[in-house]
Amino acid sequence: MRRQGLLWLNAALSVIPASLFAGATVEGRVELPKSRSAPVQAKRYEIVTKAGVLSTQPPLAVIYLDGNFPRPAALPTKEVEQKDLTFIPALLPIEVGTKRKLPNLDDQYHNIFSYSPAKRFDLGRYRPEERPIPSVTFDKPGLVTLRCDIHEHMRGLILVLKTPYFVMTDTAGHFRLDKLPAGRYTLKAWIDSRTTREKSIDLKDGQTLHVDLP
Amino acid sequence: MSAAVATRSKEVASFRTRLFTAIMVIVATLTALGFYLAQRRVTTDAERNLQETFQTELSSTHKIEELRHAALADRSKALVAKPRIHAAIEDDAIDLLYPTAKDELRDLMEGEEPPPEQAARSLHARFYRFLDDTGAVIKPPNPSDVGELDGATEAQLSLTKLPETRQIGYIQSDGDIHEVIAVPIFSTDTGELVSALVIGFKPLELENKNTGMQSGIWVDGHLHLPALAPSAQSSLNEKVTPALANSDSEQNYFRVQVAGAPQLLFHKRLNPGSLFPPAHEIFCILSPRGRHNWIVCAGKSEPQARFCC
Repeated sequence: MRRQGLLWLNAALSVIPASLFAGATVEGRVELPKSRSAPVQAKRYEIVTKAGVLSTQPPLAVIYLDGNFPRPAALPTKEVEQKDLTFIPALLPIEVGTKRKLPNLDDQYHNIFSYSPAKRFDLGRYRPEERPIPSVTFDKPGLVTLRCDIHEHMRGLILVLKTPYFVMTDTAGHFRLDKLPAGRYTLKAWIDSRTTREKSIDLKDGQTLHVDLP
Repeated sequence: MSAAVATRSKEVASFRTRLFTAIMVIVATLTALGFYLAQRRVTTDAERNLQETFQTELSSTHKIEELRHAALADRSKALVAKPRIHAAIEDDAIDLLYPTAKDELRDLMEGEEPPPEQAARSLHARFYRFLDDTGAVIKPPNPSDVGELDGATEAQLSLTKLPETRQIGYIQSDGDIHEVIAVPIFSTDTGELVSALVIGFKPLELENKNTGMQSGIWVDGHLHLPALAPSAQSSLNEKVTPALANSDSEQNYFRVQVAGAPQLLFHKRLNPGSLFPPAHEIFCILSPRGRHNWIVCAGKSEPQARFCC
């Protein structure tokens, strides 16, 4: 009887993906560009440009595992707010196919559009009470620059990635990516619109790999 | 005795004749001198009056032109600050540049050209083009949307480099002339000079019905003075071109021979320092037909022909 119970348990465990039990972890640090100002407590970032390069201020990086991964059946809808005439968050990494709502939380009109090759759209003018909340599905990888036709200073970035495994660093450049599948991959760090660092890694189940991207 | 008297009488008569002749010569000389001086004074006065009239007209015209250019500059500056135009240039979406500009510049391009009396207040544009980072014209996908120009005219909009400040220019097209204003576009991302917007307008033409003063534009060896018949323009252009080509002053007047008579002509550089070819505004006094004008063009005091410049 006891033996039969163990067999049932074994059979049940075999149908659950191994990744739920194991999976690799990558952690480390990315050398970020020097910040032009003292870091602030509030987690709000602005998009800055220098010599044609778009990045966040204070600097942040997006770490992602590059490879061919199956696309999930459904992706969560994410939001980027327009508040106090800025995009919050100013930089958002998402997976290809993600739908993103762009609610207007200011008490005036916004007109969000993008001419970026990865996604061209124009939401037109809309007020805070606009329902349904205007949204866009990002179906092509690449960097999308968000602009407002009414407020020329507003800039937001969406990094559309072909992978579900990504994370943003903290302002010191530290990151941790977990529940990663075993295998050979390229770990990439998006620093700004023209700089992406990368390193080949070999992941094993249960392993915690330390990788620095200087 | 009688012979002596006769001789004396003859001498007296001869003396009287010589005296009379001398007096006549002196009177004639003084009269001629008086006429000469009077005519010279009249000429000088007329020339001074003409210059004063010119200066007054010039000042008035320039105030109107300055106001118009200021309005054009404001409008152009607002246009090149439009986020969509920047997005098209900065986000690698050149195919959207002209379609975007079509919306943004709609109010400038719509409607008909205003009549001359309203031209100073109008900002109606005839055409517009964007320049790439080398200063060459970015070809519009649909020229009818942006004001059609033939190839030669469009080529005149290209510059050797992108302008860092607003530039005024004048270009010719099929006997017509366009005033163009080129406004630099600096990237909001980088602050670098990335493009320029060139907008073409009908140039402001001065016509003062009281004095008959008319303005024209000389550019690149061609004179455009619509108040003159084409043949008269051509004839005057032959005299004006070498004089302007050799003139290094921005504002001056000089004499040209027209129909065998010396005439005064005023000119002023319209676009000093511009990357576009130098253009001069030419001022003429046009005498109404049949009117005996007080204007004396460099000493010619007879009634003037159709034009007197």
